[in-house]
Amino acid sequence: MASSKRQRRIFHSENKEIRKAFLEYVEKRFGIPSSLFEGRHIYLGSSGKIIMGPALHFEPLSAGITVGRLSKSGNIKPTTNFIQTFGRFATKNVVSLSKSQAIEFLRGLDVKADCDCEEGYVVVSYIYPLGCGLLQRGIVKNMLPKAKHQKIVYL
Amino acid sequence: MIPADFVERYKDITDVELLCACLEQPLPKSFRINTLKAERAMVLERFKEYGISLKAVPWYEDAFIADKHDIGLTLEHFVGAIYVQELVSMLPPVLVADCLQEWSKVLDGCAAPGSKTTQLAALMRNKGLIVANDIDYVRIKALKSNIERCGVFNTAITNYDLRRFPNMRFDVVLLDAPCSAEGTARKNEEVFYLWSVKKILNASRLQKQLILRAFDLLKPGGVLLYSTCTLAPEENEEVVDFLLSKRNAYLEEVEIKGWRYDRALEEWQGKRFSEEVSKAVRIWPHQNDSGGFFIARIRK
Ligand SMILES: C[S@@+](CC[C@H](N)C(=O)[O-])C[C@H]1O[C@@H](n2cnc3c(N)ncnc32)[C@H](O)[C@@H]1O
Repeated sequence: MASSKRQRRIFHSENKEIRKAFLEYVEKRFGIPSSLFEGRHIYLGSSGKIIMGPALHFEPLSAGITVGRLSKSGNIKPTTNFIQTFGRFATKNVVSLSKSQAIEFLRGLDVKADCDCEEGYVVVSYIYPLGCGLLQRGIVKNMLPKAKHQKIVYL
Repeated sequence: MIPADFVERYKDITDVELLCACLEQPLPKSFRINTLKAERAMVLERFKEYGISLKAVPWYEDAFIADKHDIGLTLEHFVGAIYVQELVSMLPPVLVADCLQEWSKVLDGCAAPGSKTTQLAALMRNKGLIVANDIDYVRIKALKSNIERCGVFNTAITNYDLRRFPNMRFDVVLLDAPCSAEGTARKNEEVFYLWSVKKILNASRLQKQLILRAFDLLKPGGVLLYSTCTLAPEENEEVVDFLLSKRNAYLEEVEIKGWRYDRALEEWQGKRFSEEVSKAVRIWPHQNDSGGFFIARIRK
């Protein structure tokens, strides 16, 4: 059942190799247990997109959510949507912001980190996990997609 | 501006003065808690801190009416912990909730922008499979973005004309049909500018084709939920009646706890419908201060 003839087949079978790499990464980096992802399938989409979705027996237009990106060098970068959904299960590399920092972060600004996290991707959190940041020399680089930058009135 | 013909059409089947007075009032702002991303208690606690008062809804514990209109500017909206949605639009998933199992295969036949898809996913706790289909590629982009924002992992998107949807079988099918949308006039003034009986008849013709395909995509014993956000009997009772005349389908009585509604009409403009049809319900905006809606639950 191809939705479009030009489309590459992505969803006909799970990508076991990417599954292993992604689950190992989130467990090691954030302490998010692999058991949370039982029954979910991992697919490799175009331009290194790592997709988590349901098991499928046909080729839809798309499925599930892009949870990460695989760079050419094999590094994994988690997406905002992944962090927002599973960040609450993270036990390490979580940067907790103050309210004023959260306001800045939601506007798309970088913020200072005051924590003993390892450099690299972090869960940026204020009440809820807000998204992904990149910790470098004590600064959390903002990784929120531009479309998500927003002035929040109630927080 | 409510068209005179509109008033004329409905004056014998409801209190049309109450209806018109209601249609001129703005719609209360409602939302549901997206339990895929947040705990209900936590979200309620936060709204208390914001000083936004919430009113619960008798038939769905995740639905609330807010006394402020800018709930889209909350942190909860940003993180996808709430989904702003009209109350009547939350009814179809709630009314099939008893059929949703961890292994269920569900088709949302006209799914974009995904209010009901994402709600179904929450009711299914992200298990099983939802196929969210829509004919309109532009609207599918909004569907995709809502799926991502809500943390929905059990859904695949397809882009078919439902009338030509490939042969698959589902436990549950939602057909939230394209319609003349009279019931949304409170949030969309355009409805009455574009309103005409011709539009209603065209919608009805398409809905009859859609409901046959939706029914044929059910497994034996499966449930089809047919809904529209319009008041026109041609798009509601007449469509369900048409299905009953063409297929071996049964209606199941729809009940909505704590709300007022009418049973579906037995006849319209001299045409009598099958008795079964009255198991469906029509919700007039003035009955619960909501949008207008029609719902039938059909078993194969
Ligand atoms: C009432 S809206 C659906 C709203 C949606 N269920 C929700 O809750 O967000 C009707 C949808 O039907 C789609 N549609 C119209 N004709 C269709 C067809 N022949 N096949 C599939 N979808 C169709 C429209 O593009 C539109 O998105």
